[in-house]
Amino acid sequence: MKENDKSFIIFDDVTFSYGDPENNSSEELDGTSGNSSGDSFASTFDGSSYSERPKEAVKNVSFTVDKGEFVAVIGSNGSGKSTVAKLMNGLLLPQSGTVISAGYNTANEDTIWEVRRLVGMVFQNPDNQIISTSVEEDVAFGPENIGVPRDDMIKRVDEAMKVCGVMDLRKCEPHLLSGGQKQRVSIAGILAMRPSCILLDESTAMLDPKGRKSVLETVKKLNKEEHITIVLITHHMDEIIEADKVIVMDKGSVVKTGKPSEIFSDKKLLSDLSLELPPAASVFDSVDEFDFGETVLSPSRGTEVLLNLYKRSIS
Amino acid sequence: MSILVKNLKHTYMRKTPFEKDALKGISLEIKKGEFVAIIGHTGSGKSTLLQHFNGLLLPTDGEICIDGERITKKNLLSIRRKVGFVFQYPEHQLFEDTVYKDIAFGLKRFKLTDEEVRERVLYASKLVGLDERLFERSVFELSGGEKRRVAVCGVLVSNPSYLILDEPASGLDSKGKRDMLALLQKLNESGVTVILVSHSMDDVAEVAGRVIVMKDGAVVLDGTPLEVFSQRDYLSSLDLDIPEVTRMFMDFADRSGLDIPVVIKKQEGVALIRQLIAEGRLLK
Repeated sequence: MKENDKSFIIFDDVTFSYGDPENNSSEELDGTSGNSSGDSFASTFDGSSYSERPKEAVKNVSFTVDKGEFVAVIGSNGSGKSTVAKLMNGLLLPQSGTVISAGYNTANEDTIWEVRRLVGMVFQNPDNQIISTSVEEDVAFGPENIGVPRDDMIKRVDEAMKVCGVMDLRKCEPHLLSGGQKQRVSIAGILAMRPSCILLDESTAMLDPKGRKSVLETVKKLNKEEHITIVLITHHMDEIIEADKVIVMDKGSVVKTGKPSEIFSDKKLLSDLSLELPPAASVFDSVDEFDFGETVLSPSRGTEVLLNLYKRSIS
Repeated sequence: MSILVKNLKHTYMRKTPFEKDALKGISLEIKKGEFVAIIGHTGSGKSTLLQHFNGLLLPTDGEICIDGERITKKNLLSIRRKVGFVFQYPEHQLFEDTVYKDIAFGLKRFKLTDEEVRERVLYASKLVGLDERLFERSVFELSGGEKRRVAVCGVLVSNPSYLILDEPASGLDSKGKRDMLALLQKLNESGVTVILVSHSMDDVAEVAGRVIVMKDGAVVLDGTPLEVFSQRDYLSSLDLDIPEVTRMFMDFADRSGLDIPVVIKKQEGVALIRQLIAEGRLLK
């Protein structure tokens, strides 16, 4: 990667399949079998017949994520989203094609630890990724392992906890926290490693609405204020509204890349992949005989659009 | 025929320093055929209440009667045949080596012949839209939505009159979620009483006929979705949202001064916009 290149993650014609003996993936299968989304088990139901599990979880995938970008990846269960996330920081390695992350080829063993430091990952289940007996110690776990000097570490840990809004919980035992708080502790743990990018693999799926909101707000803040590149993998269509770019996946391939409004207005794509618009967007979408002048994505935008049209009727 | 709850109290860890009153005297009746959603902030007592409906928890004080029969330690088996319970993330409990065996597991204590078991499994799997060709597969080969359906199917084989579900749609993709809600509506139309806990107000607005709101172990609101979601300020004081569509039109009504009805379903929103256009109140 050139110095001035703004690309941060580059997928070039990447193919990956589970169950390949050369890839020694049995461990990987065990590791994900409890995952409720079952993403890696790509059995598809096409309405009339069950097709065999496709050989490739991801095939011939190419895309780039730019530095500082907020990218959302959507697609149904089994579309390959989680596999893509794990390929991004070298938890999985492509069988063909290359993944360049933070300037390093993830297949290069010499630099893989640097890739994992720079590209942190938050998993789906908040209970699966906290290991210490206090919030503070958990956040310090990463930097401790790479031998950050004590003074610097205390500073990093405090900063990370402050940004993620868990400073007040620093002495708390993690099992007493809510799901949203746990996920924010996990993000703080990544932040203390001074990463350039954070991957969130359905990290809000198990949270209640309040927890979800707090995690999303933290992530957006990190993107805007700390310029950290965000890759958000999600089922929730309302979480992609503020993304810079959306990557839509189906059956292991990227089927569309674009701005949220482009995705939301592509009716054929949405119905083909049975993706559902968020309620407010769906209401406007259903009144298709009237031109609202824009693709309404959120309820607050919907209110504005209605107000503008109403003002015109009374002036 | 109903679930009758009389002055139900439940205290966790009684006689310890951690004693907590999770339910503080709840009385309500859920009639046969209703579709009820219970909402409330995390820790409000929803799940505790739910677990009383089939005797997973027994009251500290007060009582619960299912079709007139009071739940005690002694009649749990007959109660649980009537009241099926689907836990949150039920697919985590799948454990048999094939889909068929997992669905049929709950029938083991019913002393049925193999043929009768097969009939029931076929009937239930048809209800949830599960293809027979999956029966001999391992449950771990299925997608998230399919696993959830297998788990629900394993409860439906007992042919329960009351179906209790804790967050049945959480973690599913759009299609899985839509299918699950459609399934519950279909079951309800066929006479099954559905009681669910959900955090998604948009889903609740679309499917429920009655909404029960809980706070600190007590019922604070109980009514139709329209009645409940009209109380935006009160719900927000409980840290609860209202459906997205409701919020959008309420904000519009507030800021335009227009007198428009409260809307809770998407279809009502569509109809309202069409009406406003027809009346010339929205102009391009």
